[in-house]
Amino acid sequence: MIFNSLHFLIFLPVVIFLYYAIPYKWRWLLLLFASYYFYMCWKAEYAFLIVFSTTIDYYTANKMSRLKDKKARLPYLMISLVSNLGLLFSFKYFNFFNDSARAVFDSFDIFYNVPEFSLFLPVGISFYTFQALSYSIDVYRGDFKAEKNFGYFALFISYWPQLVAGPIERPADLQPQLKQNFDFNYDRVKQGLIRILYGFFKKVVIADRLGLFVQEVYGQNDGHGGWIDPSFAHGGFAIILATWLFAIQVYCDFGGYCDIAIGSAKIMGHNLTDNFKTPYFSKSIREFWERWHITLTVWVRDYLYIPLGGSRVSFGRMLFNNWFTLTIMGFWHGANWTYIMFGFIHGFFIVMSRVWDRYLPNLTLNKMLPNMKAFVGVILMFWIFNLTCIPDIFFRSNSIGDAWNIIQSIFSADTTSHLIHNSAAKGAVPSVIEFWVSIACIAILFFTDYKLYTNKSVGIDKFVASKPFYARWSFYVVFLILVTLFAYTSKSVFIYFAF
Amino acid sequence: MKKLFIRMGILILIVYAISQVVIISMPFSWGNTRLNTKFDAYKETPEQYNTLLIGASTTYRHINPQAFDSIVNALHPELNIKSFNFGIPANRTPQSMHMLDNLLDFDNGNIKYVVIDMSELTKMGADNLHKKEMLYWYNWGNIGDVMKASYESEKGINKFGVPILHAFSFAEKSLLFGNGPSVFMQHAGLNTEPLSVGPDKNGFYSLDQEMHDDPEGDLATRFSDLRTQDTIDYRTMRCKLLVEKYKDASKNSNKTMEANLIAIIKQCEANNISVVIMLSQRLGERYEYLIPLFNQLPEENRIGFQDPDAYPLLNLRENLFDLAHLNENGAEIFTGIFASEWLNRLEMQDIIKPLPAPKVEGDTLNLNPTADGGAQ
Repeated sequence: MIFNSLHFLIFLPVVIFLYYAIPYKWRWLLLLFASYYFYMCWKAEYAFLIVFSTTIDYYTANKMSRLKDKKARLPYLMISLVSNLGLLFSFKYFNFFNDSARAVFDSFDIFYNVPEFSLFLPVGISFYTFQALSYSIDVYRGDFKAEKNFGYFALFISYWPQLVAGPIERPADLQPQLKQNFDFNYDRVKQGLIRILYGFFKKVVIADRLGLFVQEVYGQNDGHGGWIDPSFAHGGFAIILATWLFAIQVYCDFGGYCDIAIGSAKIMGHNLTDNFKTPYFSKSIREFWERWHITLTVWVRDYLYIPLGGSRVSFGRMLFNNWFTLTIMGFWHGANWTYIMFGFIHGFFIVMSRVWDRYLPNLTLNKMLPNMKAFVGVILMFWIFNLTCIPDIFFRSNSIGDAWNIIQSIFSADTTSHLIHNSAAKGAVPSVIEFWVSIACIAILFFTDYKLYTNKSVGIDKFVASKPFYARWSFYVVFLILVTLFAYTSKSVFIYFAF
Repeated sequence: MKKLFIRMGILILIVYAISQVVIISMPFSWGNTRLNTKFDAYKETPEQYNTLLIGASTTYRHINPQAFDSIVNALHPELNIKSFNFGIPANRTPQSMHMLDNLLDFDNGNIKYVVIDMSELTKMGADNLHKKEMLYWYNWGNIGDVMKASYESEKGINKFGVPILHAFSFAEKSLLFGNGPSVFMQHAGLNTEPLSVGPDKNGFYSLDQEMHDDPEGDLATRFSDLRTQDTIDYRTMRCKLLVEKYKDASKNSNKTMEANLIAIIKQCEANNISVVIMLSQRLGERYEYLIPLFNQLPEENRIGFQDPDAYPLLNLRENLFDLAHLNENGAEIFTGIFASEWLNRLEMQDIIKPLPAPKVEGDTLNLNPTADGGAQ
């Protein structure tokens, strides 16, 4: 089930109503049933994978919790790691490694005949396996006690608001909340609904609309570094514009999903972790990663970066750790060289920023222009936004060849006018209208995010709820009108469902 | 919880009210660009028209008002017919009723004759959801009947599914869901397709003409793929079998639509407007529910072209553009036959007197050599 569907608009109120209507002791069962229903609406048989992962992790964690010696726990941790990563490898990465191996063998004229897996990529597998892994590792480390009740544990793995696209929750954060008895609380429900409304605005009004223009440029690539039809090739500023729009699209798409997930959970009393904190207001690439896909960044930091030595190693090793973890984060997104490049480039930027800070600490705009902080801030934000757009080219392209084609096309004849006027030519509304609606909505997003940024608020829900009556109701009416009038109604799934 | 429901109710009411204000700011035709274009052309000089031809593509592509007017006026100059073709592709009968309501509201008493082509009732699939063309015509006055009529004409799970889709579309329309850009388009004067009103600006646009104007559009594919002799023969045979099967059927008539159509006929009669309901040729499976309904209408208010044996010219490959539509030549033939049948109905309605028997052989109107009236 996807959030931007009629199905969800029926599912959500039914689940919420039943949640508060039934006795507390049965709520976990309702949520577990709802979670599996939510997942099985996509492909029922793949729920088996969640059951498999849940059973293995429940067994291994309970075994580990009975053993005091860390060494004795290790085999059980290994079972959990192998099972979860094995699932991930089989369903997500096998064909990638298989194809890469075939390419290597072919280059040496060596016969290689390992067949491809023709399996669907299970929606959300990267999210729930990482959540399951964090549980096993925390139990292994002794940071978290294993859950005795299989039902509660199954709910922790499959909890529907964040099952298919996160946020990736840590057991210590979510598991205790699932056992708590939350009574209906008007203010909390109101905040949840505000969050959902804002999420829908980001997803169906902005992200889906921007997708038209992004597809117009990136969708014309043939997968092999050329244009499908040279007469529809794009170039010049159109490429930069489409990439900017993609950066905003992916933020609104994933950020919107997270807002809806967080809002839905909040209505039921559960606080999920914020995944985005106005990332495009970052003034450095490191700050960007503190604001972008936070739960994945923290996961990788705690379970990969720190075990590798983190920053308590030599400078060179620390740079490697930074670069390596970012590359792995890129690879987490998908089994394609484009995602590896995405992570690689971000890793490179982080390494460069650390080298700069160490060797050229005084050569920064802030120090060179100490009396122009606001101006420098704007320049840095714009610079970092553009910097993050470079790896986004790889992220959005279907192949490395396509990404190079896009980059090279920046230097060819400009087609911005064609992009603005012809993108949605097959739709009911001329694309020039969609374009200006997009720009207006981006301006609203910018204004809202700026307010959140300057108020250091953790989320739109608390920010709006803290405002006086007229401001709150203006927000409700304006955003509900924006969502109802300007929702882009063609079917579209969330980009991060693919990961 | 009560507080939450009350506040959400107030919020939805505010948004609903704003949406209604936006809807009122637009003409009734906003959701269909072709209809909007036609309405724009019509309202430039509404006083010159006294006949409205309303329906689906089978009206749009088949009845040329210029030819129709000249044939009718040649025989009955006292009628002084000046018609406008309001046929819109894929129009459902309730949509036609919505159009008629709005056009009569706009009219200052000039309209004397109305033809409604019922080529489809209420069919609605999930693939039609969210399209402004499927939304704009719902209102509080017709949604109940549309749901009821679709419940009556659908089978199995669709008996419930289709009414729900209509209800959902009505809700979407009420909140103008996703139609903000269309509102901009309407107010910016961009909701128009100038060619669709036809070269004579009377709403008739033959398929040949459109394919000529847009040689790379979908019509070229339809023309080449669907116009094979085999597919045409198959459709003709299918229509013959269906017409034979349902020719006397009345049992399964859609009662809601029947009541609505009869009510329209009576209301118009009360306002001195003659109504004729038309059933087009080559509609295939739709005859299952259209013929029983058609059979329930008064004879003087209906014209049926469903029987391929009665109108063989309308089923010849050289007169067809695709499986169900006539080409320009076919449309010319059809307009002549239709004019003749329509005058016959006006006679039955006592609006005109029968013409004296022709003095010479070869009635110029008898364009269909095998048809002997053809009316049901």
